[in-house]
Amino acid sequence: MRRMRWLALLAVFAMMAAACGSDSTTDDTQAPTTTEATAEATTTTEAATAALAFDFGFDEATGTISLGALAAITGPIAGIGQALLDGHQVYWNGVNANGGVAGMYPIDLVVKDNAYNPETNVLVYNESKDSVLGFSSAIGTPTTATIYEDAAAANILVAAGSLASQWALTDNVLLNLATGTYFAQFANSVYWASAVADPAIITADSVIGIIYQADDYGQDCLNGFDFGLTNTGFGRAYEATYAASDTDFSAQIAGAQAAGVDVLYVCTLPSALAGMLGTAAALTYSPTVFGSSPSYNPVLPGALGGGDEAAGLALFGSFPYYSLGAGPAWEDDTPGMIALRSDRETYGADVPDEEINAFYYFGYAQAQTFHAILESAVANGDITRAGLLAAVDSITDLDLEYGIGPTGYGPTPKDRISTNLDNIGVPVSVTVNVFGLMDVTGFYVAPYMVDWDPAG
Amino acid sequence: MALLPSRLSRYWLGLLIVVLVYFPFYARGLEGSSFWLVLATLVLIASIGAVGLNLLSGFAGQISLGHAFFLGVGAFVGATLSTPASTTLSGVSFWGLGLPWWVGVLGGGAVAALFGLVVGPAAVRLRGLYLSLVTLGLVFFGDFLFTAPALEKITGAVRGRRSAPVSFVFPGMESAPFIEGNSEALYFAALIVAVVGFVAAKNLMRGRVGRAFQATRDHDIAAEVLGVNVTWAKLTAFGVSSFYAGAAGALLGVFQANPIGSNFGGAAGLLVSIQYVAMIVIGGIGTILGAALGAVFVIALPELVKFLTGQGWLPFVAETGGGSFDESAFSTVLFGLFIVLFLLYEPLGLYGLWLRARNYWKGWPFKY
Repeated sequence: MRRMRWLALLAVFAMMAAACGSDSTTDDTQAPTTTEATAEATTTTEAATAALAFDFGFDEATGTISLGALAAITGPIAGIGQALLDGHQVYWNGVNANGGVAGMYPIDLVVKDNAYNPETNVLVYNESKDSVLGFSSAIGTPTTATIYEDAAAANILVAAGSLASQWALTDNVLLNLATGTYFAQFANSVYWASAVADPAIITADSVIGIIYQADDYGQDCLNGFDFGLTNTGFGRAYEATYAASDTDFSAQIAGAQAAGVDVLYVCTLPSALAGMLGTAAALTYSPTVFGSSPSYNPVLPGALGGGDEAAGLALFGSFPYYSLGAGPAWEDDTPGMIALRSDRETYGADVPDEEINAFYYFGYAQAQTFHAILESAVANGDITRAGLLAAVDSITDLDLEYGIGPTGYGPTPKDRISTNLDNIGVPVSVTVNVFGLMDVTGFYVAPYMVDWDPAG
Repeated sequence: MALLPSRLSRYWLGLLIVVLVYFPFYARGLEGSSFWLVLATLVLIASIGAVGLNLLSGFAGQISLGHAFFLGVGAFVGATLSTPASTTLSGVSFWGLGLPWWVGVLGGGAVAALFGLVVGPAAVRLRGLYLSLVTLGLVFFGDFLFTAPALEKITGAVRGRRSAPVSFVFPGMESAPFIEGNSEALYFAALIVAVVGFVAAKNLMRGRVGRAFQATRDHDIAAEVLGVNVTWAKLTAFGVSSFYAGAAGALLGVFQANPIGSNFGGAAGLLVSIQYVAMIVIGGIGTILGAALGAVFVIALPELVKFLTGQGWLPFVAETGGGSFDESAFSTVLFGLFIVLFLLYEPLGLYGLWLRARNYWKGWPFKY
């Protein structure tokens, strides 16, 4: 009887709590009612917001738009994450210095550190999701995989700091337009190495292998690699994986050596690449190595050379090493790179030189793309989450002015992926090229990638 | 001994359950409500796993560094049972039975328990450091097992697999009563499993099984002389502990939405295992409540440090990325410091502090 009394009391309490909580709150999946600003607005900003529909991440009084950034400031890819965040932040600083989006809506970037850890990413995403309009940067393929469905249910637009081509199949996760997807990087490069490079790097005598990180990132590289090999008539002789947290790569490298691999593709992170090349050098094994864009960091030659960058570069050259998806050079005279350098001088003087690398450009370009979407949403008078998602489809002919040409998104998966953003670089001194990579191909695309559709 | 020996403890438990049931509804009104909810959910999930490890290490005295492996087994078995057959964005298909979430939790626990029973015989022959090395091998075996291409339909191999959200919408219902959104549903699922798991563990430890565990822990030869079947006790400890880990893993798989094998095996898995060891050391070895307190401490400490740093109350600690001694580094230092301090001065951990406080107030204003 006593137990029953307890249970009854509990049930009543739960019902009361539910009743109390349900009238003033929102859930994961339901956005609050769209609000129209009042007509009594007196300031310029308030007058401008009068016609603007909004729901989350917008401060009506100041006109500030809050955006989230899930960065990897600590953890295994901190070197990449910090540089990407720097570029991202500097771009938004520049936008704010000019009044903000449409010259009147400044951006408040809410930065959270996910440490490239899935559980932490779920936590920090939830920490900011109720207070931001969208996420202008969310680093990592496996980390973004933990949140994209929840974000889709809440109509949240997420710009992935990831180049996994699978994001083209979603409506709410944007691929970065700074360089090609991992799939495209690998598929394109097989064509370049076998049909364009002179002399050809991949020939009928080549023994081709791949080592990739054991997650979605690595899988996308593998898929592109296999697609490229199939279309060029080659096959792979060796395949090995490693976990993102691994520090010893002797089994993978010794395996490649034992298999006689002379063209080795790697899909890694800088710390892993350093371990792999160091191990290969110790085994006096020097295949030609192609690495995905996140694999290389210009501080690596210095680290591998024990502080002597020239010695490190000599090591990279001894393989030789080719960095896929290298992107434009810091020194390029394209309008995009001129603006990027100028913004660094004006709004990012405190960013250390060692954090200026290709990922800085990556973060900067990501913010540029998101800015274009925001401008479109503001022009449509709708900066609700749904309005922002709708604006994505209108970004179909975006020229970021880096010499790559027009790119963009659109309603279909094929529209949301660009296969023509690739080039290949080789490591050079940061005193020659700030990003530490010299373009050896220019932007190119394999014939079989021109009409490639990620939806199959 | 009764499950809850005094009226006061029954009231405390009742109050705690009421607070935990009410929490999501209260959190809806908080700024950053989803964050507090997912944080509480992660604490509940971790506490289920920590109770399991405490049964094995705290009560039965069997050291294990392989807890992450059992979490991983639970995550993938749970996802396979409770997620409908599905396909990833890039076309890889998974097996899925689409059963209710609680079947996934029970199934994840059961299969993990089977793995525990397979490992158990090693414990019969080994102890201490040697046993810890054998269990350490599990996380490396897990790294292979969870990413093996042959198991892609279950684990998603290297890419991991999707797991379905928890649903309380049962046949004949249009929506779940009171519950709003997937995060709340997962919280209540974790709460139910945690409450049932805690009561079951408490009940188990006050009876014959618990006495056998503790006798084995204190001196297995003496226990055998007293008539305890030590082999059975060790096997049971591994089985029960793995069941808890598997159940926690099934929920953790839902929490992560995209569980990846490499997070439960290899070096990452070892770190997870050590985190669970830290939970029971800080919370209190050999206590049920201590496991929960340890989970709260280990999961919430980094957030507390972040909060204090943000408020400017830790001027010597930089915000994340703001310097070499940032919030993350400070949290790590605190973990180490607390483990050392608890081992030296309060082996019963946070539970011991709770006992001291309780006894003080029991006798107050008298000292004894």
